Amino acid sequence: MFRYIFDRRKTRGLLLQALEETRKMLKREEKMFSTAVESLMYNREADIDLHRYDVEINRGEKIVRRMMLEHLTVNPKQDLPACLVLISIVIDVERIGDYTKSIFELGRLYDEGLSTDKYVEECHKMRQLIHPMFQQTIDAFIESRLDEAKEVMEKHKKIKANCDQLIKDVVTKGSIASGKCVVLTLLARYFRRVSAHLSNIASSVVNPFDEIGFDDEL
Amino acid sequence: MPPNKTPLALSIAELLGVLYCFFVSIELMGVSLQLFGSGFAEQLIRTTANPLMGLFIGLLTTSIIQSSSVTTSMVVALVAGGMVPIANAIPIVLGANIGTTVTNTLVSLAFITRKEEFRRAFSCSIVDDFFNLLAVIIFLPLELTTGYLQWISSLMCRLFSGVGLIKIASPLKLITQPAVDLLLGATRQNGILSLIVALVILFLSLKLLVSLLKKLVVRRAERFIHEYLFKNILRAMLLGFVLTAVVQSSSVTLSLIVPLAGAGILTIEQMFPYALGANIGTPVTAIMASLVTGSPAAITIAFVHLNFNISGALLFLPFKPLRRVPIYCSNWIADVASNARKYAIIYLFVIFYVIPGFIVLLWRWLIV
Repeated sequence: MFRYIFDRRKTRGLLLQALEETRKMLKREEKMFSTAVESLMYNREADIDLHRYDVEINRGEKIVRRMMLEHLTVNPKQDLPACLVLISIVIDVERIGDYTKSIFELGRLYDEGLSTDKYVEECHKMRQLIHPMFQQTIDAFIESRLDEAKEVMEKHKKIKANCDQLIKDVVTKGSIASGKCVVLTLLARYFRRVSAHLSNIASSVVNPFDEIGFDDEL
Repeated sequence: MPPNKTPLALSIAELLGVLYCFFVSIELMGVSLQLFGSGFAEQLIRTTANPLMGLFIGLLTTSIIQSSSVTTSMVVALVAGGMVPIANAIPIVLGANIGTTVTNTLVSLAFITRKEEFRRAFSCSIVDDFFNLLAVIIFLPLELTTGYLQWISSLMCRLFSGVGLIKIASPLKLITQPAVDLLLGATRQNGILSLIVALVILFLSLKLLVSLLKKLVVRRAERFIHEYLFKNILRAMLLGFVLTAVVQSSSVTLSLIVPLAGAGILTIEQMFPYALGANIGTPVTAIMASLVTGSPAAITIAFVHLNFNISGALLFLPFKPLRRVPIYCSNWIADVASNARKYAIIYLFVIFYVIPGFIVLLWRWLIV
């Protein structure tokens, strides 16, 4: 659907601009995610202003909503499903920004750095899984690539299970300091949410409109 | 699935065909009216002699048919045929200017179930009503005492005649003549029949013209709306003017943005200059119709329509206190109507149908 819109850019001005804005939001979040996680796990200084990035993302959400309303007002019969999808998934896009900002804020609260153990190693693995999902989601969503979208959704299932397991292990089996325990639990939770929102965006390519953001629940 | 698209060449051919029908209807109307004889002309002059009556006739006619283009084109044909003097036609045109705003007011009623959205949409819809009402209250007496609109418009007509505008348009008469002769022959030179045919063609051609232009222009205009409408007064006004001049219907261009107002994206302050621009763009149809007739009086009345709207914009737009008056009135009525929504319906019927209808009937009864 969106690839078709990109091909007909002259007649679909605002929808195209909204898609471009969504792509930019996701690219910003990709950078935010890696910066925030590195800041927390390696105690590194952030090379970008994450709060400014978050403000830009929030602004992007408003722009997309506004453009979609203008587009539907002027051309009500044109691109209705695409506009509704975009209005729906831009909420997921904005939430990712919130969670990456939360990871960064967690790092500022816990400035000791995470010493390596099996739980931190697990977090590294999850981070390595999630980071490429941003570009995959952009490709899947903008280019309507079904395979990429399905892969993102599959990855999310794996991350979801790993996060739940990690939280369970840290809480029940671990003999780690309470501060680190809270940080790992929250980080795993944020990872799960970021991955879930990326999966929701990808699901808009795979699922019909009413099933966006839902897995096969039966 | 990609939507079906009409090729551009076909759309342009359709457009030319519809324009031809429009020009034929104007010519046919002029000829038909002349077939009625001098008795009819005298009665028409007598009916429209009272400026207030002319105003309400214009308002009521336009409110019923929901197109000021149809009303002003008819007035142009009447003036061209010598049935109505320019002085009598001016209030009718001004009334049509008020009547045309009924459409966007009706569109705002779609929001009636949601109080806050309705308040926003309704206030933005009726701001043009109040502007037109205030402009008529100020400029109609001024015109009646000084005749400035007629004077400026006559001057413009002479200026344009000097640069050959009428000559450029004169081949239109030659092109439309065979069709007019054919239709007159088909109606056996019966004035009433040919007038009915002319009115039907006028109405249908304008409806088709607006629909075709909307299809051709509006869907491509969304980027301009996004970039111009929300920036500043002049840009919003320019957008309203260009869009209306091209689409040839202020009802379309004003109704188009009512949902944006309802959603709260467009404020009444942003809507106001756009509406004034749309008003200035409206007379394009009447100017086109007048050029077909080639009658200086008809061209003058079309320019009166344009100059009235320009006068209104020049008075209300640059001065903030004056600009606030129609905005304040609209907000007040919208507040009342959103609290008790029956008042919106009452407002609509009383302003556009009951008052003008009652006065027109009363006047008809008095002069008969």
